[in-house]
Amino acid sequence: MEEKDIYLLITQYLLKQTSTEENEFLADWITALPQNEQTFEEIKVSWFDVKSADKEDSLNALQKLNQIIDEQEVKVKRSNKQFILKWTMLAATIAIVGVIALIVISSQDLAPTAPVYLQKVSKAGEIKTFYLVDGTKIILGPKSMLKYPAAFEKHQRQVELIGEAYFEVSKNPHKPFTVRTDDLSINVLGTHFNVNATKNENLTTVSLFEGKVNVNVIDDHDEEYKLKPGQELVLNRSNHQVYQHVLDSANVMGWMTNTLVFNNEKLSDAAKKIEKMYGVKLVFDDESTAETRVFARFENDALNDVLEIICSTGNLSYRNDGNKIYIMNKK
Amino acid sequence: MITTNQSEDFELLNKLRTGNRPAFSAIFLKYHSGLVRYGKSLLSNTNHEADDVVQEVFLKFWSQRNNLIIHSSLSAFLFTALKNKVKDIYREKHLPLYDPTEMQFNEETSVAQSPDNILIFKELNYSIEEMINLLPTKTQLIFRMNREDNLTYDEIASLLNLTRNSVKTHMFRAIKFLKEHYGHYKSQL
Repeated sequence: MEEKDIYLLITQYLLKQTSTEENEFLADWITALPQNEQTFEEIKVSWFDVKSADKEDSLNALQKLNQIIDEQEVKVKRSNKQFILKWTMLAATIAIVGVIALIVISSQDLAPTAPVYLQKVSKAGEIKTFYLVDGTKIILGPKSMLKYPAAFEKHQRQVELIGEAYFEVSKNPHKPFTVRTDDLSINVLGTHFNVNATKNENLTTVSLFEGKVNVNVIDDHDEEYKLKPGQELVLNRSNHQVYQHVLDSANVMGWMTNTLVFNNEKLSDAAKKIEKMYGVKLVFDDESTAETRVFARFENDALNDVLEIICSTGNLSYRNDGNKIYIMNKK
Repeated sequence: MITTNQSEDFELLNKLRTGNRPAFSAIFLKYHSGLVRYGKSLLSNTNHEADDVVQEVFLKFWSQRNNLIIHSSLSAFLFTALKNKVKDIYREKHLPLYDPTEMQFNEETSVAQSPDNILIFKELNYSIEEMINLLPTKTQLIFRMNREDNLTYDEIASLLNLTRNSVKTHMFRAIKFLKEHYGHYKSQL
């Protein structure tokens, strides 16, 4: 087989566009010679290394589009109303009795048309606290979006979340409350919990403080997980593994009080939290810098203090360039 | 043959048809940047026109969600929709009908070809993103359409009016270049 064909086969395999036979062929080829394996590794590294991950523009565009769609759907609803109104007037000229009947019918018809959705969006470094019509309190974390109906449906309360939020759901046993993220559906009756479904992180986490929640992994054959207070459910989006463990409340709730807690975390993971809280971008000099472990706790500290302390403990230095902060190894 | 990516898109489409907005968001975020990139390559002016056209494609995609008939893959569907939309724009403006064979690609030589430059960026430890940017414009576009947007060679060929073989040649050049100058170095770290 030619060099060209094997290169293309490898990348198609990495894209999961190959057939079973091709996979077998490739496996044989890789094991045949040590340099083949080397070639495979080299192609894999350049194929998988960080893609142009800047989804910022896409997120902004999505928010704009969502607004347009919401406005259009409200308009459709209005024109429906106007149509029914005209029709009702016409009927009135024919028979008064008919009018009464029609008002009853049309008012019933109006209620279940597509609900009007509202959304709250927060920027980096911004936290928004608000209440829904049922009294549920929501604290929306930085760079997050919550979509909720202006009025809840009869038998359920459903909201959609991108990013992170803390919920204090007001009790109503007849109207379960559901939070949907891209990959989880969290059902509760009344309780306190935190959901972190931040787009650029690999994990979706549900942390329960009070009450009871049931979590369904969407796409996972409707498997249901029950959480007890003090427990946390973590879904790894890339391999679809679900973990349940005891939560660290200071770590989970930190974002609400501008507290950052790092318990032996990789600097690259810590960076995501810092980026969210301070609205900056952290850039690492090399991979070993990103792998540095961080053990620290900050309460409402200025960004420079946070960076100063992280750098001094890890033998690192940093350089500020507008919204970008470069972190490098001291040589 | 059904691939993992196709079945993921299939699931998303099924949800979309029931009016599921998160599924719509997921599709949007998955393909938006690639579509904008392709749109920019079709429209000569580099301002926000491509962004607007992509928004229109998605808006229509949402409003038509109940009547979608997708023969190929979701990505090919969206990319083809964008291509058709751009053709409409050319027609409306009474511009000579867009001829994809005359796409405004930059000259085929690239900085990467000079041996001096290869030495320099090896030493500077460029990121993969920067390395890709060193590829000739057309090769870069094709490489990203395959790697980031999951389009097959055939789909790329029809979107860019090229032959399948020429797409493969561009892909091979890109992979070889990245393997030799990036992969080789990184896998030894």
